[in-house]
Amino acid sequence: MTFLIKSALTLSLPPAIAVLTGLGFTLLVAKRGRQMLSHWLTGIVLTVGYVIGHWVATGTLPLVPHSAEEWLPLLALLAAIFSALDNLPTSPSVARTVWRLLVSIGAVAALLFPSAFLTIVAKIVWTIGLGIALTVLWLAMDALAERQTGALLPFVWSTVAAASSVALFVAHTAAISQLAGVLAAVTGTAFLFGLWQRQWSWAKGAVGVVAMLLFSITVNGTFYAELPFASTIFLWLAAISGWASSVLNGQRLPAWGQVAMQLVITVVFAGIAVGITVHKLGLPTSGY
Amino acid sequence: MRRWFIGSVVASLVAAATVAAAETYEVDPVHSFVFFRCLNVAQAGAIFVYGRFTDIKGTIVVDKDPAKSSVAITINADSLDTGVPDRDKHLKGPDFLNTKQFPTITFKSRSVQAIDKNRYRVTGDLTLHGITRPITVTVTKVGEGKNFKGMQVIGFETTFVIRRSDFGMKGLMNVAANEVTLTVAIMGIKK
Repeated sequence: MTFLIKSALTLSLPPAIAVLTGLGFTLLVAKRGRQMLSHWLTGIVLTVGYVIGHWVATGTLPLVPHSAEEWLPLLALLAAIFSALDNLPTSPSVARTVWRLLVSIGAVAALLFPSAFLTIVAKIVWTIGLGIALTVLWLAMDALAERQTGALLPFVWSTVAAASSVALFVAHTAAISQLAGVLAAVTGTAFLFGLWQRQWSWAKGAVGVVAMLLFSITVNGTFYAELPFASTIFLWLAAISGWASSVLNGQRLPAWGQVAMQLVITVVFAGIAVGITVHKLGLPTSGY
Repeated sequence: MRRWFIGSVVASLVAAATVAAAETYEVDPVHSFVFFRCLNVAQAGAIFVYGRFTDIKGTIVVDKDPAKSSVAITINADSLDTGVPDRDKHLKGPDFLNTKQFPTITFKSRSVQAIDKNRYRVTGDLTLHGITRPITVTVTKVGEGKNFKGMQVIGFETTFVIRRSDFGMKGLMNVAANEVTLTVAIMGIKK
């Protein structure tokens, strides 16, 4: 247990400190009236936090990725940089969808083309299919972030990232599980910041980074470890639990009821994801 | 004319002798072994983990002139076996060998030098986890001759240490040590 706690603290503290410091700086920028810049900087801050955690976890940060998981910091940076387009006042919604689709397909290609077991046709089909899936997830998370400010969304993301970490550990990959843990630490710190700044918006910056990382981490686990695809889908659904709450007519409930409903749906979906993984692979026989 | 004829005969004999001197052997997977040993840091460094790869292919060219000898070996990384299925899945996964992206481990010699009658210094390229690094190992010839089926066989063995971080496996140093000892014992059957 001491080993696990020590590992968790070693991995989570450096990115948490970086994110808290960066968000403090972003708050100063926002208070000077640069709202659009602060949106974009929020994504950059989360990226920097993740990159630091990724480096601590893997001991490497190559500029030219050698394997699929080494693409994660670059993909987060890509999502953060392109999120600047959302902050352009003249950016039409079609353009926003198109650039997300292009970035998503490129990201999935980077993750799947290193595989040695997929044929070229399978790689192309999966890349297009998953590229569309990432675009939908990204748009859905973005739309939620436009409506929900403060701590709720980062809490949901952190819960999903933590559940992903558990599922990936069961799926025989401690390394990718640690990367999901880093994402949980980054979004967990954003949650603490959101508790303090309840009107803080995560749209047009942070969402792109979180969607990209959550998606890329789970795709890595599915294709290169043993994370069941069904678990991956439930983890994605858990990240957009706010929409499930809407479908179930959560708006009729008082504000606290809507929050509770969204949290319950998040936990249920994330729990199903972990449950499917444990059901398929069994509990890890730790200590080997 | 006579001088030209003698020269041609000598050249032909030398060429024939050279061809005869180089013998090609196919690696026999049944009698070839690749073992590894790595300190289990997660268990307080109290024990080594031992494992082997069971799927080995390759060719050994043995020449009387060692400089003309060569060896090329291909190991199916997915054939790793430590006797514990969960551990095998972990080692074959993205944390270490990442066999779904890097399915083979290969060694191709670039030079062979004789140290003494039965020992050779072999330098070549080891490709592991998709990264190629030059290594030099001391190889001992264990024996050669006709086996009980009458086939000409030859066997070599070497033990050497690599650092997994040199091959891009830099993570989880608090679980498995950086140094990995490899023992390669291969027997070839003459083609």
